[in-house]
Amino acid sequence: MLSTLIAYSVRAQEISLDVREHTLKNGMKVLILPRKNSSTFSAYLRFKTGSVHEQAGKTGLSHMLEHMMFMGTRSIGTLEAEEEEAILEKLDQLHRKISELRELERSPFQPPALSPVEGKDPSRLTALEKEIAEATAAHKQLIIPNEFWEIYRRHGAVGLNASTSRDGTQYYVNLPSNRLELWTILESDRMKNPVFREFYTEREVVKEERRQRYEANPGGALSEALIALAFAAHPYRNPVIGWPSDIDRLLRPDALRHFKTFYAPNNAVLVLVGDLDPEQTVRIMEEQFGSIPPQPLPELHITQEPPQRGERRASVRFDAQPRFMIGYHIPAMGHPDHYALQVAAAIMGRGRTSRFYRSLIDGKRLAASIDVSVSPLRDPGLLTVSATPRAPHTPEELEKEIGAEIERLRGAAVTDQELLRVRNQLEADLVRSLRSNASLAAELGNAQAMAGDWRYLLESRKRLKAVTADDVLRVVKSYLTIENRTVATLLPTQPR
Amino acid sequence: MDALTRAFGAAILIAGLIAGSAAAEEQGAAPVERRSAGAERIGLMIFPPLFWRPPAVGDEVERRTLSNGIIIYLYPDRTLPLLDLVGLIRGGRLYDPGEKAGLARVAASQIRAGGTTSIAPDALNDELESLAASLELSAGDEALEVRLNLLSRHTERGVKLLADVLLRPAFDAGQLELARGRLLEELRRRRDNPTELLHKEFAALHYTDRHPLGLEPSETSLRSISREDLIAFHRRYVRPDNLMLAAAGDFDKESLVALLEQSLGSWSANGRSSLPPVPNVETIAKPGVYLIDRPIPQSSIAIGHFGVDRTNPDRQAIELMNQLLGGGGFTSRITKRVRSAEGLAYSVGSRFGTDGRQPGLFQVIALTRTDGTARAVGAILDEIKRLRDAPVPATELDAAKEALTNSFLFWFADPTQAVRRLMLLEFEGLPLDYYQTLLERYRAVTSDRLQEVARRYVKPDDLAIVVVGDAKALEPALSSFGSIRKIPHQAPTVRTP
Repeated sequence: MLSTLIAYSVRAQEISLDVREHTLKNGMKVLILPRKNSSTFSAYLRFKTGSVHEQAGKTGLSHMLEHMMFMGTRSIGTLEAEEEEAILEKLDQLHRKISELRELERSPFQPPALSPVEGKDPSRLTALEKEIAEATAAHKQLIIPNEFWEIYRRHGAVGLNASTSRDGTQYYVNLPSNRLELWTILESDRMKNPVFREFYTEREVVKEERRQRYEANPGGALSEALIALAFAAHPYRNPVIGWPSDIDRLLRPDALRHFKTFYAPNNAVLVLVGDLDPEQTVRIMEEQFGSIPPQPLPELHITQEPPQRGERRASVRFDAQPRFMIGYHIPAMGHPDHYALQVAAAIMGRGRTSRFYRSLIDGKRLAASIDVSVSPLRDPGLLTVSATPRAPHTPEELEKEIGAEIERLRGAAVTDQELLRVRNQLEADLVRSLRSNASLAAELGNAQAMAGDWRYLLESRKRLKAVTADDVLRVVKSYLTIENRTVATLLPTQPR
Repeated sequence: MDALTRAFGAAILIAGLIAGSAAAEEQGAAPVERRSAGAERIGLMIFPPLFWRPPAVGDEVERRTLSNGIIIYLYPDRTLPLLDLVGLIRGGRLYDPGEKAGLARVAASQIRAGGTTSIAPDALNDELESLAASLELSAGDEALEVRLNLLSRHTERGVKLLADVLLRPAFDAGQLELARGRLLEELRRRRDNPTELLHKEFAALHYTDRHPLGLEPSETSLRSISREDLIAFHRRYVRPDNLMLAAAGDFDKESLVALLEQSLGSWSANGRSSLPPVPNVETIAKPGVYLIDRPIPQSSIAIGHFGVDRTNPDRQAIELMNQLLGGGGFTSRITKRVRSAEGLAYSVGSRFGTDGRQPGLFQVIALTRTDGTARAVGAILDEIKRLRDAPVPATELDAAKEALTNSFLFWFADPTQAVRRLMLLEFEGLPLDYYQTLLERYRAVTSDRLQEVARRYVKPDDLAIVVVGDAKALEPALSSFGSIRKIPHQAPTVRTP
């Protein structure tokens, strides 16, 4: 065991990361960072799959799967696993029929060839709904809802959660350090034997999540419109949560298929940070996760975005005050220009010394806020400027002034002081990200999953610090162009 | 057997429990609580002992005073080259004069943003951001909080800047106008976020405009705040006898104390600190249904009434009750029912204000689609009533206590958070060993006690049902819960400067 556990101690400035690296025999990557700062540990389990891997018509599936992973297993959350499985299959069939029926009703045509029984017969829907209600009631007799959560909670879990993004899906939790064994049992059990019970109720929960984030939230509605327009072909165009009509038709077998395809140990990264003994931890990981069979991963072709050949504009009407977003296509994370773009973004929008703050928030007082961000994506993404104008100034006025500031950036090199400030901030960011076990685990896991090596966490800071004023000038000139941008503006609806 | 007894009882690690099923079958008799075979096996696990107690003042944490009386809590932790200084200045929203609602918030931001008598705002921003340091002030209900976070190699300069900001703010007039303009814009955008609107309207309904907690800054109050108000505010509140500081992170105690003494120790103020009186909360219930119209497809619901203040002797029992009701995440009753069983909400939960100087609010919150609103309201009302009407099963209460016991160490896992908590005890007038005995107080709560507390503090007849959503559709749906009053909320008409 000792021989496979390779310890690396990498120092960046005063920072030393004592990461122990191990690959289980099934290909699962395990990173352990022992820290004695508290009697706790954080676990971060990431699968290298996200919404980019969804098929047309099934958007939102990876996120739906993430929700289902909390529903328990064949031995947790149920009193009768076999009997339950039969009901779950029945519910799948009923919901599939409902989907088919709704699909039929969607058509504006009422083919004369269809008799009412085959066609739009509301009584069929009612009958199906009644059957579903009965099967659901029978199912409830067999299950212990939220038992998976309950076990974690009883044992002191804090921050138990998961998130789905375009490139990854991650599960995380913090526990007292004497609960490592428990964590391993629960997590390996849900990797081996998950049961996606209550799928169709949870689908309603996800629809509420979508309403909350996008349909009742002006910021969400706007960003969804921007991204869908900026990407014409790449699946990044789809919201991670899915399009409403897709969510509506997701079925449990879809989630099972997605799970079986992508949640393989050889597609996972596990990071444990905290008060742990590395040797013992590796032994426990081998015992519990090692028996999960590896599997070949599908060969995937992800449609790449063709170059944009001119400005794109969208408007969104919403019962809210105006705001807008500008997105510029940029290269993928890890590309040399990506570092310079991160520095450019910080010079434009970070803090009270940034160009936008000094000139447009404080100076001309046109904006209440302007944020600039660079997408940390595996494929080419966006640099995004999100702005809220200050009345009586309009989005047009503010957009014009933001354009003028970007022209200034394209016209002359940034100052040494600006560069130095950003470098210092990046160094401090790194140190701050190490404060909690949870954020350190997430940073290591993200670097390992995205770059294939956790040391990228330190390497990326080095690359960022090496960015010169010429680099910034070059990337601003090549990417922050009118032809390469998409602008989405949210404007108030007329009062009713 | 609760988790703590188990944790201290033995030191054997049982591995691979999931693999075998013998243990559960041998149990024989039906369990009191419905549990899966997997949960049964996990229930038999024994965990190695974990020796831990909250950090204590006089032990890991030291309390000192500077020569001018400033109280300092010190919690060195040299894991990372970072230093946090957190200060509490008594003052805040509770003391805002009615006609100047928002004063504490503006003043807190301007103490930092307005520069000092020796450093202009821009230069201060330049220096702090070049050091990658953050120095900010914010206003809460009872305190202004100042936070300095920096790489420890910049400690000396950072503390000097902190002292300069606290002692000699310049209140630059241009920065005040900037802040005012941005706050007015925030006001214009107040409706855009339905849950924020909900919280503000729920508070305004209960505390009314006769109490600072019911008053939001208005265009008039924001426009009335002058530079002279800020100077007077600073003179009154920011004084050595009204300030406590806590330090956590990479420092040597003696050198940091010497530095603080040098920067802050000779600061003096005339007379003694005197704070304005705070009006009492008139805890008059506001039962009924209140609608705030926003034509969006999801309703934001708040159902509740007044809570209690932190001197309440039943505080721990009330907090446990709230854990069971909706404060305990996925295992609480309302979440289980409204989210997991009925699929009506993604965000749902409850809180019961117990930590304020004045009575807080009890609120159940749920966000649900327009046509699910009535069903969600009905389910929530049921669960609120059930707390009073039915005794809490011992297993449910034990689970909540176990969760608290086992997760308690996370309250102190971050040193800054830990030392701030300890300082807050003194600020709130609680004993400094409060946390050493807190778990005992939670564990002492029985099922009977919990039901008594529910009957005393949860009042179905007092519940206000406040909903932000599509009024046209909601009005008929919600009329069965009581007569509906509409809270007018027009699109903002804030004048432009």
